[in-house]
Parts: sequence; C-alpha cells; structure tokens
Amino acid sequence: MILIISPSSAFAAKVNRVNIKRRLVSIDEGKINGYIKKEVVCFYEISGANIGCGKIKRSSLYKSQVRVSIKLINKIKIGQKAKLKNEAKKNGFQPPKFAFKLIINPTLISHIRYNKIAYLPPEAGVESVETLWDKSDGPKFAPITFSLAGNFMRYRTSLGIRGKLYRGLESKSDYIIANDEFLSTKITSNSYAIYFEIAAFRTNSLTRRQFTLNLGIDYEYSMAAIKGTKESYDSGQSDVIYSAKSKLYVLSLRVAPELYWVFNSV
Amino acid sequence: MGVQFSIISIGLNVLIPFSATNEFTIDESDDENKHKVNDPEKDLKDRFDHNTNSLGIELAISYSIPF
Repeated sequence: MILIISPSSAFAAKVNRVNIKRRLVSIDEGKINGYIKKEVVCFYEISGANIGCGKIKRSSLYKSQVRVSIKLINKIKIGQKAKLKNEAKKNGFQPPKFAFKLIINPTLISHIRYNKIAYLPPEAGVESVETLWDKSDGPKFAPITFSLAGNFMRYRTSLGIRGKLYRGLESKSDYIIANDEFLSTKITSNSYAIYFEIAAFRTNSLTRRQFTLNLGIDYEYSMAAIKGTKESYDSGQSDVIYSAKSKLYVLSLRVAPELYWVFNSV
Repeated sequence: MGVQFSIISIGLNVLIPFSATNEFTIDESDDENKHKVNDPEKDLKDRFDHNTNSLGIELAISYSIPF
C-alpha cells in the first residue's frame, strides 16, 4: 500500500533528442525525480567527462527539455547521460513524508462469518429439544467497506483503519406452534479494524507504475447484536424476549500485493 | 521542493486469521421454552457461530494524497 522511493538514488537521465536549431535537449527524466524548471542539468560523455550544462526550460512528470548554449548543443549526442548539477537537488524530489490514503475494500471472501438464525419452536408437549434455533448462511460480504490509511512513505510503513457495515438480517418464525405469536429475530453487525503494514518487496525505481508487496498485522473487532421480539399477529403486541451480543476479536496476517499508478496533478 | 502528484492503486488484501477470541453474552432472555434445552446461551452461541474463516480476500482500490 506504500509508494517507496529511495531518496539517495541518483536519477541519471539519458538524452533522447537534440534540437540544434532551438538549442533544446530532451531527456528522459522529469519532475518526479527533481528535474524541474530552472534547475541546472549537466551532460556527460560516456567516459564520464562533463561536456557542459544548461537550464531546464520545461518539464513534465517524466520528461524534460534543457536549453543549452550554441557551443554546447553541437557536442551533445543522443544516448549521453545527464544529471542535475546540484547534488542536493539531485534528490530534489523528496518523497513526501506522509500520504493520506482513501480506500474502498469490496469483500471477495470474508474472513469473519456468522449465521442467520431463526427460532425453532418446540412441538407442543415436547419437554426437551436439542436446539431452539435453526441456522442458515449469513452474509457473504459487507456491502459497505472503507479504509483510511496514513502512509509513512519514507519509512515504507502504513497504518490504517477499516470499517465494515453489514446489511441487517431478519427472520420470522412461529413462537409457539398453533398460536398466533411469532418471533422476529434481527441481527445487526459491523466491524472495525486497525492494521499496520510494511513494504516487504517493491520494484526498484519510481516509475509511472509500480508493484509493491506489503505484509502486516490486522486487528479486527467484529460485533453482532441479536434481538428476538415476540409479536402477536392478532393484537400486534410485541415484547423483546432475546437480546444478545457477540464480540469477536481477530488477529490476522495481512498480505497485500498492490499495483499503483502515479499521476501528475500540477 | 515538492512535486504535486497523486497515486491511484489497485490491490488485494489477503487476511489470514491466526487468533480469535469470542465473547458472547445474553442480556435478556424471557423465552418460556428455554428450559427445554440444556444450556440456552450455548445453544444460541453455537447456532449463531460468530467465528473466523481460514482466510479473507478484499479488493483494495485507493486514492492517495501526499503531503
């Protein structure tokens, strides 16, 4: 879940195109690596010798154009290396310390389950039964799931919270056989989690697309409330005869592969 | 010197539970049939079965705003 950038990387650029008439040299690095307008870029022979420098005239996220002198433009060839002159500014793109992340998490398979239950009234005259409840499958997923995370990007870590709101379940069944009363059983549920992740693997460079594999720990609190209300078909009278709460605390390992795209928003 | 950009990502969250604790309480029970089962609380708890599966998978679609 984290964008990882190595601040100490030297983002050397390569000359892509030379426009002698306009004295412009196009290179394959841009704003995202500190190649921003008015910064000085120096060009190098393959041997490493400095040919000369010029100033960035314009740059996009991944490309720049450098204006150089007439004398220099004739020395620059496609394929030669270019670097920001100021070593400190070579890392001009300082990855932000922090990023705020909004996430929606549609559940494909839920790691927490519960059943839908309905009252199973004993037959008249029966003194002992095995159970008073009939069960059927509960919700497969939470229709509303969202997360908010803080990414401490330079430290490759992320701390987040997640909430899940489940659709309420309701069942109705006879309360006493051959009686006008029935029992309405309602289940409401939601869960909240806090998680911590660290980027265990990432592709090396900052590019438009990057893959990251995050590993972490997830602590979830899941709460379900059961309310059984005895109601009468005839009189409409109702009484709550069951009220129960189930709390589940779950520790999970998180494995989170992620592919991201970087967009320039200037 | 910062560069303004934003990040959109898509990924999966695989959750593998390894520890779970369940607290189940009945606050109110006026069921006139409850004496017909051995342990009404255990009966309701067992049938409700609030527990974990072996794993969970979520899709994660995100938008990040760096500061």
